[in-house]
Amino acid sequence: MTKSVPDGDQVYLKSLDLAATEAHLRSILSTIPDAMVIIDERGMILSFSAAAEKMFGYAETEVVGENVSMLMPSPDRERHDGYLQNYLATGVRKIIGIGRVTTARHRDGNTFPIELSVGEASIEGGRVFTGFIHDITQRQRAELRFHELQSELAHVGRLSEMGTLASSLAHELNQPLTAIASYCEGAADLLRDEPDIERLEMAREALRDTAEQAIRAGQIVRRMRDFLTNGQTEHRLESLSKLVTEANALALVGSSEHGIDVQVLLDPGADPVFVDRIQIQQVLFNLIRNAIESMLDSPARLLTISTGVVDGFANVCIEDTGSGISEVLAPQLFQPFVTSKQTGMGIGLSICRTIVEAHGGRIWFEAAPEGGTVFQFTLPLAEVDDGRS
Amino acid sequence: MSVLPGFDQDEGMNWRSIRLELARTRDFPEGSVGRAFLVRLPLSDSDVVDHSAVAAAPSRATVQRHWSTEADQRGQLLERGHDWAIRCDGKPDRLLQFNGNPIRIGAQVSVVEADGSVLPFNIARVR
Repeated sequence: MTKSVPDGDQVYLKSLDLAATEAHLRSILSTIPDAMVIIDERGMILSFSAAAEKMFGYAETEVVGENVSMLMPSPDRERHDGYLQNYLATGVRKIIGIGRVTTARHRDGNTFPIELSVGEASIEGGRVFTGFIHDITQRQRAELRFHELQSELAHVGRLSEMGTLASSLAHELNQPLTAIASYCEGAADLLRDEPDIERLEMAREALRDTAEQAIRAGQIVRRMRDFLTNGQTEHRLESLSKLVTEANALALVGSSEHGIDVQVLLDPGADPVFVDRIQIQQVLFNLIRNAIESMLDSPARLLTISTGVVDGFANVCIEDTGSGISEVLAPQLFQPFVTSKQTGMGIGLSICRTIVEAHGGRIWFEAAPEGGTVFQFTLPLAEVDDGRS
Repeated sequence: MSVLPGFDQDEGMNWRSIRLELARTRDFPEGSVGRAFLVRLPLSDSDVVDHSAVAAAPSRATVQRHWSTEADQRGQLLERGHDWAIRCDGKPDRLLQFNGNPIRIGAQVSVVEADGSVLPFNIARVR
C-alpha cells in the first residue's frame, strides 16, 4: 500500500533533500585541504572555500564577484581572460582535466608554487569552472633539496675520487712512460755505428714495444675520461619558459617579505630546449636564490629574470641589484669550495657550471650596470620537426 | 608559507609593507580587494612616514600595483611635499596622499590618477 503525499509537501521534501545534499557537499569540501575556487565563464569568482580563504588571505565575501586573475601574478594575471575566451571559442583544453604547476599570489604580495586542477560543469545553459589548488611549496622544496644534495654528494665524491684517480693515474702512466723511455734509449743504442741485421731486428722489436706502451697509456687516459663523463641524466624536450616559471615559483617564496621586487620576462622564442629538467631547474634555483641572498642588505632590491635567444642559443639572464661579487672571488667563482657565504660549501656555482656545460651551454657573470650582478647561461635550442620540412 | 633558510635576517630599521585596497567608489560600491597597491615605506613609532629613513635609502621606497586583470606594475615612490609620486614602468605619475594621517589598518588614503580622478583606498594591511 502506498501513501499519497500532497503536492505542497512534495516540494517541501524536495527542498529538504536539496538542503541536505548541499550541507553534505559542504561538509565534504570543508575537509579537503586543497583550496577550491569556482568561477563563471567570465572568470568571476562564485565560490571561495575555507581552505582558499586561508591559502590566499581573503574572505569569501570579499572576493566573490572579483576576477579570479587577482589570485595570480603577471603574466597569467593579464592573460587569464584570454585563456578562458580561447577555450570557450575553440574547446581546446590546455589545463582543464590536465592540471599544471603554476604560481599564485597571496594577499600579502608573496607568490607561491601551486598545482592547479580545473574541472568544468554545465549549469542552466552556462558553464562553471572549479579550480582545486594545492600549495606545493614544501613538496617542491623537498624535491629540489633532495636533488641538490644528490648532486652535491656526487660532485664532492667525484672531486675526491679525482684526487685518488690523479695519483693512481700518475702511477699507472708512469709505467708505460718509463718503459717507452727505456725502449727508445735501447733502440737508439742498437742503431748506433752501422748496426748488423740482428741489432736492427732488436731495434724494430723495441720500437714495437714502444708503440704498445703508448697505446696502453692512451687506454689509461680514455678510462679516466669515461669516468669523468659518467653521469646519468634524463634529457627531454622541455619548455624553457615552463622550467623558469616552475623554478621561480619555489625560489621566490619569501622574497616579497624582504621587499624584493621580481620581474619575469619570458621569450617563447627560447622554447623548446632538450635538457634534464631537474638539473636545469637546479641551476635556476641556485642562481635565483644567490641573487635574492645578495640583495638582503641592499637598499635597492629588484630581481629580473629573463629568457631570450642570443646567437642561436637559448639564453637565461638573472640580474640582481645586490652587493656584487668581490674582485678577489670573481676569477675563481665557478671553482669548487669558493664562497662568500658564511654557510654553504661553495660548490653551488661549480655544480651549475658542470650542468650547463654538460648540456652544451656556457655560464658566466658580469657586473650589472647599476650595481649588482648579472648571471647568464645558454642552452642549445632544440631542433623541432614542425612537419614543414 | 615559510621563508627559505637564510632569509630570516632582520631587515633593520622600520620598513613596512603597506597594502592599500580600493575603497567604495561609484563603479565599485563594495570596494575591490582585487585592485590594490603594495607600498614599502618606513614608519615612525607614531605610524607616520619616517622621512629620514627614506632619505637614507630612497630606492627602497617601492610600489607595486596589482589591478584585477591588468599586468602588474612596479616602481618607485618619490617624495612630493606631503605626498608621494607613484612612478611605475614608464607610466604617467600618480599621486599617493596620506593626508597627514597615521598609516594604520582601516585608515583611508587617496590616489590621484594621471587624469586627475581621485580614488579612495583603505589600508588593509601593515606588516
